[in-house]
Amino acid sequence: MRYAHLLPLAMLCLASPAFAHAFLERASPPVGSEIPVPPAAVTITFTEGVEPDFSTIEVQNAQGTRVDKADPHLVGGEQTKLAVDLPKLPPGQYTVIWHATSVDTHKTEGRFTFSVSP
Amino acid sequence: MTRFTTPAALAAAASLIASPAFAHGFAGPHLFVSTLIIDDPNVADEASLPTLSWQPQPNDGGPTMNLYAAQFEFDKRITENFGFGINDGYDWLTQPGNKTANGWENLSVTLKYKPYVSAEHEFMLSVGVVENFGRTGANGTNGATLGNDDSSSTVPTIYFGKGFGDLPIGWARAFAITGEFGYQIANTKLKVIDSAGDYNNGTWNQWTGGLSLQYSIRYLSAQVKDYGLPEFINRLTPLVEVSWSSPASRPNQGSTQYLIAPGINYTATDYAWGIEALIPGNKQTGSHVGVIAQFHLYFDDLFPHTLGKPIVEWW
Repeated sequence: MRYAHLLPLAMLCLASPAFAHAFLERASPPVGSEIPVPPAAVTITFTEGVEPDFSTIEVQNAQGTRVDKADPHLVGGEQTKLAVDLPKLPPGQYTVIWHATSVDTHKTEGRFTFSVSP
Repeated sequence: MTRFTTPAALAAAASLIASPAFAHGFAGPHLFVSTLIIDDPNVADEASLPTLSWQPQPNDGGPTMNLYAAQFEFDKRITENFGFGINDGYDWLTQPGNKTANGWENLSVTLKYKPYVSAEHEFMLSVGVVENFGRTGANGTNGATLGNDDSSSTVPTIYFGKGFGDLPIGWARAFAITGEFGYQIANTKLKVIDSAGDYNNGTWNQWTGGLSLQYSIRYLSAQVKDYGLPEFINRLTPLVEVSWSSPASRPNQGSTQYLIAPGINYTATDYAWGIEALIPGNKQTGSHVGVIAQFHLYFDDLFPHTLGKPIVEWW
């Protein structure tokens, strides 16, 4: 039992290629930003590829009403960039709620706000 | 060569960093990073390979003894929320003018169950039991010098983690606190066995515990406000850990000890490293600052289809 710590080394030689949890790396509009022009979409760049069929982005206004077009999709075929289109948003604060399933099925989630200035 | 005289505090001082099962986990968007001197609340597929430390030991006026340790850990999920961890390590205890004592630490095995996670409130609760197996490492005089207990002990432990995402103050939401509280039950109680005042090979009961306060820059950038920091900075989590132990039965040869460990953690997608200072919290813990560093592997990210998933899902 004393040499049980060698097991991981042995498994390293047998295991499959690496993927990982998908963290939010960047967002457009940026996390916590105030922008003068309403964005046409919210785009999140993840640290790992995500499965668009099992990943969501939802945008809510200050009253908690969903305002996005509910069409999460990859941007330019890049598996690390997930977007959802928006109608023309009036000024106000918006909350982005996202759930991502990475290509190796790990799940992550988060939320952030941005504001459209008058 | 003269042999070391074993300070009574040594075993307890070393044990402040000897038995954690380091892991990581999410509670909602908050990631509790791998901690170095206490265990974290998650059940996971991970390894710390290795954890290296240097810790000057308390002395009674003689030359300072230095304890160097190379520790290893392997954590494995059996089901989604239940798993085990195995800890061991190799120690070297040096003192000018004396022969170096070296040998394996006693083996520790942790069983842990995570019954509750609140994503909304970034809270995680786990319960576990740690078994420290006496005489599985160096024993006899050498083992005593290194602080290895000659008999086993059992430590029922409760673990928790709480992100501060509920707070209305934006920058403060990136804080999180994790902790563990346990009661170490000696399997063989220490007692006087003859009229000369000699003791048996037992140990004594102890309260043990620890806390960590973490500040996740990734959480700040991804949840609160993106300051355009480089990705390297976003992966950093400054933190401070505190661990303590206190005798809870008599007779005992221990004392209440505190260890404070401020440092930094870097968490990438499938590995992490951390380095912390080891600051004695009182004279019984030591008088000099040491250091601890760890390289940590996330098997659930590295090998999601094999080693990184629960054993019950292998077939």
